[in-house]
Amino acid sequence: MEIPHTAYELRDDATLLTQVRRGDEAAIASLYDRYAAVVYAVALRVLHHSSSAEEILEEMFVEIWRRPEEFLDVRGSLGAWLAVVTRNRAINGLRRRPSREMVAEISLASIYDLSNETERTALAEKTRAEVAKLPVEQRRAFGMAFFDGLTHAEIAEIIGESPAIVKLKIRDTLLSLRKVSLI
Amino acid sequence: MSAALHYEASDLAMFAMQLLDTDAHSAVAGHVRDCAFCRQELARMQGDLAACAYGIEMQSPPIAVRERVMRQVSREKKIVPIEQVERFARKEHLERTEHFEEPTLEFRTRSHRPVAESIRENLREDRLEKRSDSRILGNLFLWLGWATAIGFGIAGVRLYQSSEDLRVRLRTQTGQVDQLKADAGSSRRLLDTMTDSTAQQILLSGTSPGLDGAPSEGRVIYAADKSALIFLANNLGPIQPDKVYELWLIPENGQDPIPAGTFHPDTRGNGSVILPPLPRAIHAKAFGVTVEDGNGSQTPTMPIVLAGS
Repeated sequence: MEIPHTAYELRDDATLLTQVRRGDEAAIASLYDRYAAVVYAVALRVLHHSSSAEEILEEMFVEIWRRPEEFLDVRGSLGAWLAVVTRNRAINGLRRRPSREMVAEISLASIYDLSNETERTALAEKTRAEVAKLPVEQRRAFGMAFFDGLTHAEIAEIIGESPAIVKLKIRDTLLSLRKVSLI
Repeated sequence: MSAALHYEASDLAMFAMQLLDTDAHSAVAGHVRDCAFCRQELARMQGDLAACAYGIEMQSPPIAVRERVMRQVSREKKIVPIEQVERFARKEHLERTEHFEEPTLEFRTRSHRPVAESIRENLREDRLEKRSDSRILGNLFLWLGWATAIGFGIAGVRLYQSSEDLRVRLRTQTGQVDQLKADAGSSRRLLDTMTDSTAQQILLSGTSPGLDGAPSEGRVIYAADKSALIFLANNLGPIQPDKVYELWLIPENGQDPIPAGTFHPDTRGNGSVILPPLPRAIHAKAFGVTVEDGNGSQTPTMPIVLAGS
């Protein structure tokens, strides 16, 4: 019997991944509908090139379809994992270097249930609010590291600070974002 | 850095963002593998990075990407591989025999030796029986596993064959439907032309006697606005096999004659040209038929064997 689409929308990531493992195409479609926007947005923000961002998006979901069991083992939320790995792949694409991590190598600690749209929206809003509070220079240094893949030494050269200070600024930004999870 | 010491949060942040050079990256990766404290801090950092990613403006990808992903997914339909089933069956069998545990029983009452011996004998028999049962059970599972694997294999092959048959049948039927559609379209156009009250109806008569001395004649129905033409002729004389009759449309505006199709008459002198490709909206002043070489010509060759205006 065919399962209504809304029933898929309500399922958590692990259930959908189990269904993907059994070859359920509607389950992978549901995961795509849930996370395609964040994957595409992150890839586009890093690469500034829509075709390359589309390639990464396609690659990520085809990979989930081919090896769902690896994603079932992902420690933490699939949504958070996808965001981080997309960013890393996009940076690697930018630097033309091979990917450094395996699927299971990244563990994540996130208190958000990102399979839930309300929680995704809440996280996005809190993050934006927190980032807006950061000093401009700190925000800039972090953006160069996260979105442009520049090392602390490269950033230091651009903004005229010492590499150690840049590293601290990046760390402080991440610690500020952690507060978002605790609010 | 040893496992007792830990990396600074700032180093772990750079590691999480993959911004360290290869050597430093490998060093941190090695340390994190063995250090639960740093691993935990790194997991938090990754969570913070994910939060950061969710903070950017979401962008909906083009619909075409979803279609491409789903097409790829459909192309790579999942079938539970037979190998997996076999592996499962073998593993099941091995585990059952390896985990067989022999009970350790010992009787120490010397005064009741015969009884103890008899009990021991019974126990030995029991053990042998259990071992034998276990072996039978193991073999049964092995065979069950193989039977299931073969069953899956046969079912898979049958499914594949039946889906191929269906696909071939579908392709054939689709071709037939297309052909029927094209035929129906032509028939409709033919009927429309024959019943079109605005169509020109022109009688063509022969300039020389036709088959068996009877006069050859022809009739054209021509709807200029639809570029639709029907031509029927009878009593046409036979021609050599390397020649054809060719119908010509002579335009009203004085342009050169336009070839409107070739034909061979049958043994009774009947010939026809039905719905030939023609330029649109050319009004005809007259029609003529000539005899041409091979597959026809672009200019008429005299004499004209049928003419009408």
